[in-house]
Amino acid sequence: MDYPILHWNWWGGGLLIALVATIHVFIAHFAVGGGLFIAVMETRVQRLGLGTLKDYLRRYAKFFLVFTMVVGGLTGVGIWVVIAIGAPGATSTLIHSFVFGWATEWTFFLAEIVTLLVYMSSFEAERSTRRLILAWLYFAFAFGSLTVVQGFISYMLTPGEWLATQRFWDGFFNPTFVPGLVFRAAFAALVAGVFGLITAQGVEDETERKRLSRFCAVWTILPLPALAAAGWWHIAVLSPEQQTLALGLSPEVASGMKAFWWASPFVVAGGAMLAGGVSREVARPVAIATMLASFCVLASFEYMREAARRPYLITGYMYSNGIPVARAGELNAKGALASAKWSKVKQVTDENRMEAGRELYYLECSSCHSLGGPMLDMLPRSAKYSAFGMEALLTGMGKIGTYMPPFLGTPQEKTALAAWLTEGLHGPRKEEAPKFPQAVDAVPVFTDDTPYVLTAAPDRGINLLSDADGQWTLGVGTQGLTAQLIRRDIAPEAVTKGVTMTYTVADGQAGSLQPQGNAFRAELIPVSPYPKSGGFQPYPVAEVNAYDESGKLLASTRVVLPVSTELGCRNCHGGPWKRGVAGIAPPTGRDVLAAHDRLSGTRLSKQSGTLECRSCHRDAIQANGQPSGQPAAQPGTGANPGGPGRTMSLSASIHGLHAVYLAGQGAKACDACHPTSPTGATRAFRDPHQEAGLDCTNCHGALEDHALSLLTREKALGAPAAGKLMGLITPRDAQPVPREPWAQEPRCLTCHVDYGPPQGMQAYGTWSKDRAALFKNSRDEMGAMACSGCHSSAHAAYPARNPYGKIRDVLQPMQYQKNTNALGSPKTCKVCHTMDMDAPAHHPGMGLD
Amino acid sequence: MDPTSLIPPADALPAAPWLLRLLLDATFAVHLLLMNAMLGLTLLGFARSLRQSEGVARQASLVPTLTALTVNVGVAPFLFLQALYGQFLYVGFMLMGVYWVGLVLAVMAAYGLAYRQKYALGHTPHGRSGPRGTLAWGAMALLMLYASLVQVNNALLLQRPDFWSGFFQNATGTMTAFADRTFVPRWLHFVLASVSMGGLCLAMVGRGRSRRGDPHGAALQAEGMRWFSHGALATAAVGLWWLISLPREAMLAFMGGHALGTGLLLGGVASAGAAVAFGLRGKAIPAACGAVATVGFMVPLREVLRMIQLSPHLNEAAMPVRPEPTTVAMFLGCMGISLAVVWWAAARPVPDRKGA
Repeated sequence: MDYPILHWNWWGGGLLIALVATIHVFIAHFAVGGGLFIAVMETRVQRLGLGTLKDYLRRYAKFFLVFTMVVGGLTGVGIWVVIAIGAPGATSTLIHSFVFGWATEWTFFLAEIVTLLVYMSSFEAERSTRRLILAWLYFAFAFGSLTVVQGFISYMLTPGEWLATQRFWDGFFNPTFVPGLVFRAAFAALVAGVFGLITAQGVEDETERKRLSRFCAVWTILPLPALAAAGWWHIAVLSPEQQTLALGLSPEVASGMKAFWWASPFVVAGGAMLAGGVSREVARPVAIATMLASFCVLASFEYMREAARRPYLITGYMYSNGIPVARAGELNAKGALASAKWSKVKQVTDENRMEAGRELYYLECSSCHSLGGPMLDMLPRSAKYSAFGMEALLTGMGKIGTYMPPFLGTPQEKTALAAWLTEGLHGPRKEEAPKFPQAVDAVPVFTDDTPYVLTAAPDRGINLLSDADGQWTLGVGTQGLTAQLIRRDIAPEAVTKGVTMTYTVADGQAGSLQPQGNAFRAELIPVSPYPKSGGFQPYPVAEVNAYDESGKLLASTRVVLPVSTELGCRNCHGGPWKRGVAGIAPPTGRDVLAAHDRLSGTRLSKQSGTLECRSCHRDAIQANGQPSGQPAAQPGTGANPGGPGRTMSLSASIHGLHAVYLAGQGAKACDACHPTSPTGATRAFRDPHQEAGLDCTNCHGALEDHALSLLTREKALGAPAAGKLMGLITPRDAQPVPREPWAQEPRCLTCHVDYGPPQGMQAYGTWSKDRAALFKNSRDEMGAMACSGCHSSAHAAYPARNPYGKIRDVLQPMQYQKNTNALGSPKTCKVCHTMDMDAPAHHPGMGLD
Repeated sequence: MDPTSLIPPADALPAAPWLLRLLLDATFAVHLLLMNAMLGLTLLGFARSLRQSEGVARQASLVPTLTALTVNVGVAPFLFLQALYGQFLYVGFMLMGVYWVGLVLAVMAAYGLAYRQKYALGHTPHGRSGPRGTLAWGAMALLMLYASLVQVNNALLLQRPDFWSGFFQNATGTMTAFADRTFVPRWLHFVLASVSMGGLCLAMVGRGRSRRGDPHGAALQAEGMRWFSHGALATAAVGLWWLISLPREAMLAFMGGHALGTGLLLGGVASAGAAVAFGLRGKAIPAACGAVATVGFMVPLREVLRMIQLSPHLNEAAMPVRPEPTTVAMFLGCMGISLAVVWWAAARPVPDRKGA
């Protein structure tokens, strides 16, 4: 925030640091362990009279001197250079907090250099107490250097009390100081043995070579148990979040742990082979391979240590992009650009949106990510997102996945950054504009002397069909149909006896409806938005016919059975539309599974066949879309009982997770996934509420509130994940009211008190009592007519406007009343009653008051 | 653009600024002496190897040790500089980041070549450089001169926040301070001082040889003193050029406007004059004392110049301080121990042959 950021796009912020630091750290450990090795060898040479080893020791020490001083010393300076360039804020904190600690380490470094140089210049003598003292002094100072530096490195991971006091000693003696020091000391001994193995192969005498190899192999293998124990200890003192990252349980860092488990056995095997006395031709490559494996062991440790620190440079104090945690509030309120001293752009406008996004990238992303480089390349990582999807990712960053810091800045800045990361880097998305071929729907004949009125309504006015074929399914998408055959009379009667009711959907799907009370029902009608003739038609029409026992047609009507595959998964999960304007393409489906695996530790991507999401996330709808018949989450009943360890229902899981990412988006959050987008190919929200200016949130609540209502119930039932998600979601307009998905929905009468004109525009929080009270299952006050029979389905209540045909959603009102209103309105009672009525018997109002 | 708006806030210091400044100047003076000797011996090594002079091998054997100590002792002032001027230093660092990364690689390569020279020339007749040796000297000289340019560039960018807005046109880390009028004299001043110091080292080597009865020692000492004296005179001349290239206020500060600055300049000129006088007479030890004294004056003088140039942007009284005396005690104690060990180790460099 306070420093310029170089535009080293290919390198990013981390590659240079990783390169220099890894090499330096490896040599630095060698400088310590090698010092001990030299001191021990010097002691053996002098005290045990192993004069034959002197030449070997001289060669080892010479290599040691040149290697550690030239490469080790200069890469040490190099680290300062690259971290000062890559993370100047953190470097400044590290220096200012520990100036005299670093200075102390420098004095040790000075003594190291002088003792080593003098030691090397005193090799002429056969025996020399002074040389022995110099060797041990070198090691003592080298270990002192390691100890001091370990204090600072471990402080960055676990600053402990320093966060509160900012005092030197509180930061230095931090929780991982000792375990880290033990680990490093063990590794130093190990790497000294490894280098010993390499240099030992230069000894001419075969017996001596093998003896030395055995000695060095002991150095290589013996520290490994201490290494493992210290590593475990190191991890044990971390916070649970850090442990997850350090153990590689988070997919982002899994490769580090894998490298550790692969490389360690190689070190043991290499040491064991050389201890066994293999030939010189074999020994050299084995020794070098052992050194490379030991390098991997250390590199993986450092990688995991760095990973465990995410999303911080200094845990709890400074984020990995160099922004101090304490400034988060300021940046969110004032704006990141306005707060950044070195930003050319200070405020986002329509004109500078892309430039502002680019500035924000450098401020908040470039410290880790590259553009086209080998490390954390942003180009492939951002390619799959729409600008909206990227914005969602930025919203959820630092919440669900804590590997990256949260986005800090204003909502406008977030939008600008998302736009640059998507459209700025990859160009505008080319989307096929939806087409709306206007159908000319035939309306069945109805005259005054027609004896029957046949009403029919689907269960869902908005019906999602997930078509990630062969990958996974949400288990909904079929339709239910309720029909009532009314014999017209002054006192009309619903007829079921002796009547056969059939339906035929466009493209030939046909079946019968079964009597159920005073109506007929058909369940699980397969519908598809892809007509055989091609294109996309989310509103197939079904013809419903009623016959008497002789097969005589009593009545016929037509009804829309909505179905849409316009699920917006691709906004965030990438991939094209499967069918031009809708459908889940295979890349999208795969990414959904990969995301599930990443976030939940599953291995769904590896499974074959179609995964039924509800097979784990059960709720009141069964995996095949059939109502389960009982509230699935009642403790001790159903397949998904309540209690500790419960897996959340599908609705709670999906809405709970996505609410974290889509917070603050209002109805756009709903449109992002459901086929209700006003620019989409379905435009499924098509009843008068939409024209009145209402949107999804008026009845269901904002996504955050909607999700919280589902999660609150799940938490009460014992689902552990619910509480975690709830902690990440901020209520927007209302406090959560527990709700069971599919069985409890918003009620019409919340606003339409006593069936009258709306007395408010917020139905959130007052749910239908149970499944029987759902709109699709409700009856009028007489218990005679299904609500949906006269009003059609929820989200498509008459007079709905269908984008694919002027009268496609109002076929029955047109058939019976020659208007588009609810049946019986206005004052069309004679459609059933054959005469005008003066009392609203079905429910108050009805236009008669 | 107001450069003040670009300066980051300063972090708190763990001790009073005067203590850190004292440590900065003291360690920088030692670093400067070592660096001058390293660079000077390398430049003279190249020049002398072109002339096929004798004794280049001994010269070469000193360079790796001097490089090791230069790098090591450079760490301390770099550390204290970060503490005192971090908000300026890091910005300058980043603006020329490419050159800094190059500096690390350059010094590493020069250091490696120095060891090559040490081990290769040790086996040549009369310690002369062959063509490869000359080439290696040349490469080392170029690499070290590059490093010196980087350091001068960095020192100038640190104290010229008015240059910083160039970042908005060039964010690749390749900014230079060539536009500063003092760049060339400043750089030449240090390079010529290095030649002078290299000559002094050569003279000391010759003096040591003479004391051990080497007949070529006196000639080497005389040659070294010539390099020293003439180099010092050239350094002084370029120093004058540097002085008059300074912004008027800064220049006048050293001409009576700033008592400490003027005093340090006068002291430095006097000690340098004395050193040259001794050098011309071939007196190595007094000349060396004069040279060390000159550095002792010039280092704080350089600090005064930095403070004058940064004065519009730096209020020392307002620098946040959060004292941690125990850490100062730890440092001083460890420094005492380390210096005692260094003294013990360096005081008896002759191999102990009692067991031979």
